[in-house]
Amino acid sequence: KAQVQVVAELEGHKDRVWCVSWAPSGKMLASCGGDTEIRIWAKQGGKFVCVRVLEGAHRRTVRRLAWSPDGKFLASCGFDGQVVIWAVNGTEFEFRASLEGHENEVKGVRWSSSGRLLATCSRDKTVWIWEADAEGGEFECASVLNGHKQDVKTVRWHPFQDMLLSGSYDDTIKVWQEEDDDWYCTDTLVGHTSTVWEICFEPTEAKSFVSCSDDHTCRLWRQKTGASQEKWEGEGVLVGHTRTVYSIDWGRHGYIATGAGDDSIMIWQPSSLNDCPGPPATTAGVTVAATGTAEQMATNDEEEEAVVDRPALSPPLPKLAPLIVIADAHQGDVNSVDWHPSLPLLASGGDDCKVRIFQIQFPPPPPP
Amino acid sequence: MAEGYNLNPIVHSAQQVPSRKDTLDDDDEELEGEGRETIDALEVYDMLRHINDPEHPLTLEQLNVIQLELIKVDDDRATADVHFTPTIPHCSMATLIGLSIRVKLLRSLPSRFKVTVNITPGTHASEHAVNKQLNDKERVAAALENAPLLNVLNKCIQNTDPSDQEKE
Repeated sequence: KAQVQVVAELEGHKDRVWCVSWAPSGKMLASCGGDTEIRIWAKQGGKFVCVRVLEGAHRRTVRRLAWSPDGKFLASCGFDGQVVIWAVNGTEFEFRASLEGHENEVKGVRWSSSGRLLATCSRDKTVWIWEADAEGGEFECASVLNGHKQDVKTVRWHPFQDMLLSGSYDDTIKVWQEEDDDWYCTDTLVGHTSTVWEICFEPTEAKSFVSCSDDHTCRLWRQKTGASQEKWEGEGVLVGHTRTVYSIDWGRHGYIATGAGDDSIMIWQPSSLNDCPGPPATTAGVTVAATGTAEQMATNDEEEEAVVDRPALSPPLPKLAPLIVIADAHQGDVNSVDWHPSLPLLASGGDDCKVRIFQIQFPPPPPP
Repeated sequence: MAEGYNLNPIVHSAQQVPSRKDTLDDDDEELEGEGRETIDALEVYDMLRHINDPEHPLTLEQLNVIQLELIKVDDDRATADVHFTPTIPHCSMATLIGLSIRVKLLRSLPSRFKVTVNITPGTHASEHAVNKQLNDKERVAAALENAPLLNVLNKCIQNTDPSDQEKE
């Protein structure tokens, strides 16, 4: 049976915590929020304590944090339109650079797996790709990606390729890839019925990713078989939260964690999707029936339009229920969840100004 | 004056709804288990009724922007759902009015409450867009860090607590 234990409750932030992020080593946890500060937490004498407060660099809310894959840099982005790069040396953090270019609030920042590229996104509807020099201290804008019709809420890289996903207030997810030194949108995924808040690839093979939304659901997407590599299709819907799902993270152990406006954290086991009752993801019978209907109605213009304007032609996706529900994980919205890189620890940040660390004991796998 | 301003709003009598203090005797305060005060729709209405309209020297109650029957409160589930009705379908102030309602409830309701603020269906041309913005907490948080905007919002909600009204 699954067990959940709170191993740390970290207080110090004076406003809502927007983001928590483990260092790649797993030895430090960074958090940030509405108080414009970044806090660094580490274990000392068996307890997590605040070892550093980075203040003064951002003038407004610090929205998200991202560690470079080698752990030598921390990037922070904020509502002041800035992206700040911090050089990390042990538990010392030195202000290295401020990347300016976005017109207003910067809401997401992520390093590519190589650590060579940094992606940022903003309410100005753009995604920027920044290229780091060899020392990682200088950044140059390599590309500005236009395509989203609204506020871009989040960016997330493929775990080992230079492929980027972005999620937006326009309810879509876009897939971006580089070709001949330029970046192109290779797919736009429609399915969520409201803002997409966060996205995360499955970390080991990256043949799937998952997204979470203001529509209270999360969606599982898989690489289209037979199609060119960069096309994706819906595979399942994660149903359980009763308010906006703000954060999602897929751990190397295979479990997905989500944090939501219903104050809860949920843990999902996507590998059990195939065991779920419900229609399979594609049903040839339904497609045939729909084509037949369209032909029959071809004589009537209005009705034909109604048929064309019906994305429900695709059959409903199978639904997955949560494996573990941590109700009242925070006394307020849960804004961020992040799996520890190697241990079964989940960090979270919430509207109650707190950072929590949960230890999760997963249920043993069922006998084959 | 630009389109989107209602020059001649209908003014409604402000005292049609009894305020909460009139409906309760002093020793009739509803207390629950842990001494927690139960919040109901009338109390939320009381918090909102005196908010000043950004473009008129009138309150949201006087303009019928706020109506008791369009406020739903569930104390057990700690939810407050407020619908407000712009005075004209192209009202350019709809977002600002919605924000003032949200900020007032943020400051007045216990933090356990989840608040949704929406336009009364069918009463505004950009209903969906305004609703989406008002219920996106990241957009609201960013708006509240905008000093000039916060200044306007503070003017709308200053002296609007029921206790402020008693002083007058």
